[in-house]
Amino acid sequence: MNTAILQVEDLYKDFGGLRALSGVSFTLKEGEITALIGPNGAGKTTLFNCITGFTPVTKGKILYRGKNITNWPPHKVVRHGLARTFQVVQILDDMTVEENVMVGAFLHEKTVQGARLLARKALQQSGIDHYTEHLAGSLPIPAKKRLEIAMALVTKPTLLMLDESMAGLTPTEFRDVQELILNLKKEGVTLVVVEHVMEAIMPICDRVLVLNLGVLIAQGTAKEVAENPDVIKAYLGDKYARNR
Amino acid sequence: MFIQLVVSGLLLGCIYSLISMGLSLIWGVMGIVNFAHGAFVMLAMYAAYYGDQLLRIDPLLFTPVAILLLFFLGVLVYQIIIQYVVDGPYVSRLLATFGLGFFLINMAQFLWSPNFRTIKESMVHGVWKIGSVMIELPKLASSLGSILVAALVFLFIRKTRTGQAIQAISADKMGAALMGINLKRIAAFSFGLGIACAGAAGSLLATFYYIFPDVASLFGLIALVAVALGGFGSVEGAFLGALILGLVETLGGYYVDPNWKYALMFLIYLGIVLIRPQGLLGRGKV
Amino acid sequence: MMELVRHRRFPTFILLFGLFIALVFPWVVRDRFAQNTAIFVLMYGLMAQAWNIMGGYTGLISVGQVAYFGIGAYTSAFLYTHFGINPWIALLIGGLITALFGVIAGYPVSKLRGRYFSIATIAMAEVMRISFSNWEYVGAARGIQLPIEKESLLTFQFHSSRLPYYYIILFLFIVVNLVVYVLERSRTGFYFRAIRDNEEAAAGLGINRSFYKLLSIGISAFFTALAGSFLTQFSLYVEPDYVFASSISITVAMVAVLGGIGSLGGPILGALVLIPLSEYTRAWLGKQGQGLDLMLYGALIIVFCILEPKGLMGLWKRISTKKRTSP
Ligand SMILES: Nc1ncnc2c1ncn2[C@@H]1O[C@H](COP(=O)(O)OP(=O)(O)O)[C@@H](O)[C@H]1O
Ligand SMILES: [Mg+2]
Repeated sequence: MNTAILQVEDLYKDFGGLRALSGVSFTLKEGEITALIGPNGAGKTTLFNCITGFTPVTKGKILYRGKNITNWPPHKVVRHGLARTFQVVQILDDMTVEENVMVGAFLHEKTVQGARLLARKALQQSGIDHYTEHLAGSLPIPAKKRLEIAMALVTKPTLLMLDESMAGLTPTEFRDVQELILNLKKEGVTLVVVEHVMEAIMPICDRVLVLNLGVLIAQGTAKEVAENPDVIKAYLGDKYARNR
Repeated sequence: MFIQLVVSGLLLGCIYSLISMGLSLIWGVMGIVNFAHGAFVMLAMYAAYYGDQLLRIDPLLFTPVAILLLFFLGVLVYQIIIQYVVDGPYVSRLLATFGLGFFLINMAQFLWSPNFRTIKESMVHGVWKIGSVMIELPKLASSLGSILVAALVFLFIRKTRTGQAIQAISADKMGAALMGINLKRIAAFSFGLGIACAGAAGSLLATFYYIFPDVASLFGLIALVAVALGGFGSVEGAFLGALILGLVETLGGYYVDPNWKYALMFLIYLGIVLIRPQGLLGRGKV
Repeated sequence: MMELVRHRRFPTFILLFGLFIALVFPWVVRDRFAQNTAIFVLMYGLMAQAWNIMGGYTGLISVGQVAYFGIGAYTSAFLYTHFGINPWIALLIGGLITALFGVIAGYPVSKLRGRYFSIATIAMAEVMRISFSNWEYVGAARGIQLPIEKESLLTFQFHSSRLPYYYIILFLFIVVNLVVYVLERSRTGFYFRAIRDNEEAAAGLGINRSFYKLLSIGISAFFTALAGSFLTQFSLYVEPDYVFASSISITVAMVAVLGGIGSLGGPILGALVLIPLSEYTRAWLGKQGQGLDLMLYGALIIVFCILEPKGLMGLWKRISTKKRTSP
């Protein structure tokens, strides 16, 4: 349970003159749920993009199970068991919900029939099997977010990274997602979850990473982090931190 | 010789800039790549030709008339075609303007035959010698004319209310609509303005260039490549792209082979977008 | 009647019926012009289906398909006249060389999207036209003339009848359609469509984008080149302005779009409607005024893009689903 699955070492990412990530280092342990939090523009999405190969890394190293995957193309990263969702949903609008998931299923099943079976299972697991025949583009936003989770799941990830999958959901809806996350943990999937809704993520996570302006300012258990003065400062401003 | 070629290249590039500017403007406002753009240059060349033949007006002086004619033609084309395809799928937008170009080129073939025509002698003619550099005055006059028109359009967009509305739409369509800008009217106007740029260039080109229906394909492609080279959405980019193409045309025509100059221009374009897919000054994702 | 249309096997039925018609057509219709038109329907149908692989399924909208067409035409003409290679083998080699060209030239271009890609395809086609117009080794602007041979299947020349040409192009046309049929039902087909819909999502699902884009371009170039080689044999000469004419690129795209892209039936339907329409208007008007027929053709393209941007297949879908929902 305690082996490292992902190590990020001194990661930098510059967009022109803007430094979006600055010397970020951390390690994820297998089977844990990690919450990645931080104010808007902190660099959370950028960190996901760097790890999954969607944006080139400026400097630093990313190791997945000891293997250097820095700047691998996205498709190769997925094939090694590292899946993600996007903050702005990325689905295949003109294909049906089932077809969307089938595309991911082809990673493990060469035949259309086989892929369809896998897809059905993933759709059930994420609770949107009633939309199977709909065009993905026509779904309401919450269903799209679930579809994206199903698409990531069907690739059978060992590490799953969710970027604000609960944003904009009603409390009942995000409780479903919480439950899904906990179930995945039981199956041995390691998870990194970016979330703004603290009460949605804090109760279920094992560890928390806090990013602010591209710098990893704290990591630890939810309790440790909540009491960390730097974190309070980042979230609530200078004054509040001093008054405490 | 080199300086000579650079000078002629830049002169040519100025005229290409004006054509490209129209294309870029239309793209910015309505997200349509006008594949028929060259056909409007060609129509203006014929208009200038007949202005010279029938009315004895020199193409240089005819340019304001060509601008007006082509502006109204542009608005008309927007009203009967463009406004109906602008929200359609990408391929139908593309083919609609292609179809329009095809229509206009073949109309020219039908009406005026595929033969080459030229204007006998424009009022500005001869050569101006500065040291060893020889500047053909018709080309100089056309380039200066192009710069003048481009500057006027530029000023118009920066200084007038309509111009600011055009800028607002190019930057953010939804926002502009919320600000109460009448999108359809501005789009019609911009399409007219973009076509008018092509028209001005056509009339100016008529003073020294061959006039024939298929000239449309050449100028259309040059403008498209200039804009793609500079980066869609960047007027400065379109200018830069056009100047580069003009330079490659004259330098390549001399040092490589005149027959290969256009191939060279397009190859250089392909080479550049290989490194910068979004064009030289284009921003963001392709 | 409606029962029939709604039947699950209706498309298969239509297909078999169409195949039957196609097989007996030249025996029933003996008119030479009609037979030539049918040959062009199949030739453009072949190219439009090839375009569909790239444009309809993978979302790479090309308006420079004539580059592949011309290279195919030239390669087979050249291999035949210079090395005496049998036209059938030359046809195949032409297809393969063009596919290779498509993949190599496509590598940088396939990184472009949308309008940037389309413009690059035109530029590429124009570069090819200019190159072949100035390349002395392949006859420059004069092109290549093929010698007249004895009539036989082996020489790919038939002087007494159009029928063999008809059946050859019909065969190639059926092959491309079979390929698309199989593709549509395979992992590769799913991957193509995924790339068309959303490249980021596709990459996130483990698809190697460059590989599948190039695969799609390669297949498309191969079949387009076969059409070019066929034209070489059919007209016995190639000339840059003829086999690299930009109007061919537009017609190919138009046939596919008119029929409806991203479906097997679209290009077939498009070719059946557009090519006879343009051939017969050309015959009807061609003599009186050069350009008038093509003017009408341009107008038709515009009208169609305005009225039915989803193509005839879209129209068909609307009609058939309307019937299904109404009692
Ligand atoms: N493609 C990009 N180009 C330029 N700047 C970017 C790009 N993506 C993100 N940024 C910048 O990087 C910073 C971090 O953004 P992001 O990772 O989206 O933050 P978060 O997900 O934590 O809200 C922001 O300042 C954002 O503007
Ligand atoms: Mg984010």
